[in-house]
Amino acid sequence: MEERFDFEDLREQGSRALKAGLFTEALEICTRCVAWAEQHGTTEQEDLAFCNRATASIELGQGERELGRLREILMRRGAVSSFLAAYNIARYYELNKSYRKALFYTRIAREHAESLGRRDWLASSCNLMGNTLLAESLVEEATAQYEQALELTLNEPSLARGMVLDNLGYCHVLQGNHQKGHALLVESLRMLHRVAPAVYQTPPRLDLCFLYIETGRYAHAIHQGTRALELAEQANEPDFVKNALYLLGETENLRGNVSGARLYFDRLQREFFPDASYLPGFLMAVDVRKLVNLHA
Amino acid sequence: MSTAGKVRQIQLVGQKIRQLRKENKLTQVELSQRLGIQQSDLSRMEQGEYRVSLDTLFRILAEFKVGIGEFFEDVAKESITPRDAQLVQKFKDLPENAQREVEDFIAFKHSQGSRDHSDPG
Repeated sequence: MEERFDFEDLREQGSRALKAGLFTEALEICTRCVAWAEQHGTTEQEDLAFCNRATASIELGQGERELGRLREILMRRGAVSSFLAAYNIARYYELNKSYRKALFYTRIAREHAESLGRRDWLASSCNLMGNTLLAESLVEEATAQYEQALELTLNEPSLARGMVLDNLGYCHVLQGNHQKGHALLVESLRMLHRVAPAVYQTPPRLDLCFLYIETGRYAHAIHQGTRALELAEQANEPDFVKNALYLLGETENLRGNVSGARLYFDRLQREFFPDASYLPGFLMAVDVRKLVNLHA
Repeated sequence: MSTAGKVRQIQLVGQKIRQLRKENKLTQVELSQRLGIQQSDLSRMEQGEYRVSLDTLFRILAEFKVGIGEFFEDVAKESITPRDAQLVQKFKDLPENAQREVEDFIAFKHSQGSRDHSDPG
């Protein structure tokens, strides 16, 4: 009985760490949970513990090794573990930019969430589906998914709600609804500032930077872009660093600071595209804002 | 730059991608495979309807590395950079006689430049 209590207690601790975005801590807790389940637990407990650990591994970029077992769990068709397995696989593919595969597994996760009547999991599925649609430039369809996700999440500060607000805000900016986009992005940033590790502020700050560029508020754009760059560097998030350097360069270029723009574009080329020597010159001459998707 | 100008640019980039693909006798399927994207996405990109990550954008540019400057010359020509716009605005803000002086100076620099080119010695 005491061991059973330990398992649930550990699993709960792991879930809390996952929800808070503390993935290194979650991985450690969930690994202990898996070890216990393998020795003493039922197959269902093993699957649940494994799925939680897989969530942490995937978010930490170590997800490939988990895929085989997640598929096995999905095939066993236990309702809860199947949702977790499908969601994790979808998230793995999303992070690895295989959006069609991500969409396929998200649909499976969504069906399980619906059959279980879990609003929070349905919200997560809608958000993930929105991400894959947005990455495919299907902005209107993504907006509908994010709106549904927002309706389904509890109207209280959380990491999940903060991320949905950011995603929806960016969609509105892309569609030219700057005021609505701004309100959502600011709400997202404030919420994530309160409830999540600092790195989670990076996406809304990047999106705000983009919005301020679009509306010609360059000083605000520089402020948000610079802070986003700092956070991205601290967290070693290369995709965010790339986007921040590009946005800062674009802002400086648009406000006529040619040498400042060149510094950012040169750094972008040097650190991420070393073979593309033409890149800074190209970005100085061609405005690619309408080509770039910050969420792809 | 106006919204119409930006839309024109994205369409031009799409058209350029399409033009180069055809010049290289590549089908959409072949090029999309090289780029690691879906054929339907490349098609939408060529029509100026598809936004991509910076990685994908620069992968496309890298694929066309031969004469990339020349390739995007038309696009760049249509771009009025912020510096260009600023210069034009500053010029317009000058009084008429000062504008004439600037024009004379530009003409002088041009004549100097053409002498430099024609007389390397």
